[in-house]
Amino acid sequence: MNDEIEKLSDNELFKLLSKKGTESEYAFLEIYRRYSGRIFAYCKRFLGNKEDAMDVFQDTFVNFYQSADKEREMTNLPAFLLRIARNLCLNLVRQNRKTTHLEDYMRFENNLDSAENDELLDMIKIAVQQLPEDYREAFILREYEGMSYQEIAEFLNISLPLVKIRIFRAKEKLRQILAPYISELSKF
Amino acid sequence: MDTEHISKKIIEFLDGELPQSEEQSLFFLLSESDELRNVLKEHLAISRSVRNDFSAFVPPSSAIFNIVKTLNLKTIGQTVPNKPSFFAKLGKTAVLMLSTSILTFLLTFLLIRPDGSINNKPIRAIVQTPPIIIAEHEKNISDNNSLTKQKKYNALNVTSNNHSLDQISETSFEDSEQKNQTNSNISPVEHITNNLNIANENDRIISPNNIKPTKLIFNSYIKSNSLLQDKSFVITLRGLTGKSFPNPDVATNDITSLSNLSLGFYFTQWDNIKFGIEFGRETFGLSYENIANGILFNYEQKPSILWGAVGIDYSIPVSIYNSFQPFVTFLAGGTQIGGPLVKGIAGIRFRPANSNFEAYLGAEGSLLFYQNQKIFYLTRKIGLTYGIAIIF
Repeated sequence: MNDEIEKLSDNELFKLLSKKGTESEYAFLEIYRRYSGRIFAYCKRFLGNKEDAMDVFQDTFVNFYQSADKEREMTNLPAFLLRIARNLCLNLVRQNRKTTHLEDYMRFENNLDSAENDELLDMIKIAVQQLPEDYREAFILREYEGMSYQEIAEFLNISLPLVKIRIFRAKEKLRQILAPYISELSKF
Repeated sequence: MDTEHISKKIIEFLDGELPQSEEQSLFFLLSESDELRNVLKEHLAISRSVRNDFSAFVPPSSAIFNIVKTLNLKTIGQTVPNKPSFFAKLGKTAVLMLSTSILTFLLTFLLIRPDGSINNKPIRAIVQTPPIIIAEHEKNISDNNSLTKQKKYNALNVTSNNHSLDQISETSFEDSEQKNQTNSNISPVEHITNNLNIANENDRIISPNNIKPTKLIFNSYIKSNSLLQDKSFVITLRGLTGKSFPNPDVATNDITSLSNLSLGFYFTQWDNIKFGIEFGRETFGLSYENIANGILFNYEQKPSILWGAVGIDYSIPVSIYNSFQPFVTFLAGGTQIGGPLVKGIAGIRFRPANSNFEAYLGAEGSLLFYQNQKIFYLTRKIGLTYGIAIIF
């Protein structure tokens, strides 16, 4: 069963979901296997808080599964999942207007399982949280989701020049924040 | 062309979004300006670091359990292992600590315990009593018109080898009367005594000189030299310093004021043996491999790790200048990254006379086992430990 499921396309998997049975559950598991990493990365870096990211991430897949039968055609499954995650993230941010305190952030990030011994990376993760929400999102979609500018424009439903501006502003802001630190690192 | 515009082009170039037609002009500008090349370097450094952010792509394993449970997916609910229980999550450490504790206690109870009795009081002395008659006495009493009473003293349990002083005091006496006996001989009596003055019914004193001891009572004392006699509870606070192997040349993260410290709670089980638990936070060097997205990475870290362990402490019963005493401690437990963790300490304690405080210094060796992607790794650490203890 697993071997067969793995060979199916996103669209075929999605169609299996609406059948609501054993096949549906295996299809769901395969979709989870394929995209959970990307969705989690988006949630984690957008929210900057592991606990909130975990909640939103779980809700994303629960909502996805529950709404699967309502959708008829699926052209871009990861984008669909990302959209659910994005809406949930934005809802959470707007409800709480929660800012991530540095202490909380560092506490969540300090665990052995993470590959976060890169000091610069730690600084970047903190700096990303300082970016305005729309800049941050554009940066995450570009750097973590690997989307092209055009895909980001479609996903966010904004113009291509606006995407370019947001990404430029985000990266330039990060560079300015981190420049002294990078300069120090380059001395070693 | 202003710097901001060129910077924008640099970003587009790094993102693969710059049209090829514009690349040549960008390269030319870069070759002309140190400042622009620095901008490029800084953006490159940021992009490279972000690409190493693998941890962002690994959702916690409990997420799928929660999702399956929420959606009530029965089929894959059976194939996906159960949600980690308390013991599965914290439990490797907890189970290890508990089992070590039980094992240590049982081993100690069975092998070290002096007499096997349930008695928490320190044993101070053992008196050995002889197995047979220890004294004989003959005496003739002539008294024609009077009743003669013979008092027979029997010692109970004379055949046993070891008795405490308390047991000896339980010696009972049996009286038997012999009436109207004239010129009768008093038969030999068996008795055991530790005060050597025994009165008969007529208040005559049988002096000690009349007793011919056939065997001497042998008293042997096993005396403890522990500095901790009569103390039952000890709180220890000790500092830890040392070098771990491997010892990667990276900065230690998460240094707090509570790093490289340990707090212990011990109770004295017997004179020289204490049991307890200990918690600490300590820096260990780690080196392990991790495969992410099919790529093998070698990680080196030096985190400050929280640990907990059960401990047994043995104070060697040798007192030096009445204030110094050597000790050994064995600790076994787990850490926040798993475990097991074992520690051995050997050192010397200093406790001034009549003081409830003591200071100690020792050498410590640690073995930390940890796991990543189902592979176990070992970090060894040697160092010094120093601290104080309060004895209640």
